[in-house]
Amino acid sequence: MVSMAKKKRIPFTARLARWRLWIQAAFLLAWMDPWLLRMHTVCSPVFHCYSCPLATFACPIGVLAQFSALHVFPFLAVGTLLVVGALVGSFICGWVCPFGLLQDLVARIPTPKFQAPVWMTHFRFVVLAGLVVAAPYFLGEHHWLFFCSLCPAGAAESGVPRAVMSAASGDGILWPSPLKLGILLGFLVAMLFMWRPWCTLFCPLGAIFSLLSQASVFVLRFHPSRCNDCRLCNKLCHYGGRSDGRAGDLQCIRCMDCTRCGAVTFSHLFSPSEKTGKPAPQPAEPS
Amino acid sequence: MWAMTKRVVPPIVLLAAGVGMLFYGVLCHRVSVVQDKEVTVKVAVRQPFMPGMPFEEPFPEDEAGPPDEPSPSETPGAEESPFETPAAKEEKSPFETPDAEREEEEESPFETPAPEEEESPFEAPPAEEPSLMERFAPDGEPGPEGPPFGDPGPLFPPDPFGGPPQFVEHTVTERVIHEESEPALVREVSISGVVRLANGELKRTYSGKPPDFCKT
Repeated sequence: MVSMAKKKRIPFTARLARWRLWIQAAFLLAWMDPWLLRMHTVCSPVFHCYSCPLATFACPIGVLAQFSALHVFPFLAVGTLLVVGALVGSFICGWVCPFGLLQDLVARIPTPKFQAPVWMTHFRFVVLAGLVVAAPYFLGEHHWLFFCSLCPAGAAESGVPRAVMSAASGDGILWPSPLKLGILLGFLVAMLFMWRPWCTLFCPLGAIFSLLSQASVFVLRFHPSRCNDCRLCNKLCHYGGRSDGRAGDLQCIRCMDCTRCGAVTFSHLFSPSEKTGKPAPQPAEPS
Repeated sequence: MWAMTKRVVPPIVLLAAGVGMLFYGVLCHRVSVVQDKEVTVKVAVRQPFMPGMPFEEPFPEDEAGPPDEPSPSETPGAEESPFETPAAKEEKSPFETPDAEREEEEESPFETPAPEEEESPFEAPPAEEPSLMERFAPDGEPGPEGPPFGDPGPLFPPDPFGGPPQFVEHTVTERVIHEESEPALVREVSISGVVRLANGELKRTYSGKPPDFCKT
């Protein structure tokens, strides 16, 4: 009894976070079109190239760039991103995105990891405004600055598989664009030394979701009254999150590792506030 | 209360806007996309009046010809009538000119082979080919050996009007304008199947084959 009483209570979200890789892998199956549905009339909310031989849905960023090149407003893509972003925000990045899964897997290789300065996360907005919207609008889709011509996810999920398939079929290797391949290789190396370099520094979809996370239905909430300045949430966060701004950090991917600390909880807009709430749980030690 | 309102209203507004955009995009938004489509068109070809006959002069002129023109017999080197039989040629006309002998040598393509013996043009053709009865029963009764029928020739006589009209197929490029829904456009841009022209038109380039330019 005494040992049980001493055992610290771990919140459900923190326990769920241990299964995050498996949940990402399960979602990957959904994106990889196992039933050959090819629903390319529908945008998915994740960064998954629709040129991939195994892609169920259309990539929202690719659709934004293509529609920008056509000078047509993409109601479907923007509507999808607004609905998903207003509901869960950047939970998509941490739990659903297949390119995030690739980065998490590569990051498991035990190499020293560095953290990029927080101000560098604003590059994502430059990529969104410049390469996804402005460059296609003014330069057209055949310009080398068109976002899909540079996308590392497209190279990893479409260019390389197609090169392998063409080589296997004996038709000669259909090499992807060397620029894309170089960008992919650069990010693969960076994944060894940074946590999610693409997501935190360049991902335009992450930029959209980080903005919508400021006003999403499901949020991470920081409770100042429960905080005893143990800095545990900072130690648990790989992305330079600050405990006091946890719910609104732009670089947060909502992996929910920080919910092991009692001062940060996963909740929704209509949850009871601190005044009516329960006593503060004790923080759990990082495992 | 105000804090709760401030917290709740933005997500609800965003959700409503997103749902509205989704409905509008699926149900109402239409985009004009032009497509150059190759269409095969069949064109009827004018047939000659009688097959195997010269098209310009279907009927022979009157022997006398028009009053202001010399008759063909008077004209040196005049062409033969296509209906003239070789036997008729051998009957010397009192109006025959020396050139008529040369005409005999120039055979008309419509002439029948000249018989060896002199025959009346009104006689029946020589019975070289077996009659239908003979073909059917060479020895008086049908035998089991050999084909019972030879080449019976055409079943029907040639159509004097040239038969049914013949058609020639031409491939014509036709510009078609599609009013595409946004989901269809999303699918087509996912394969780089739509481009924007310099005049602002959207043009469908996807024709079922892989596009020339693919991002990947």
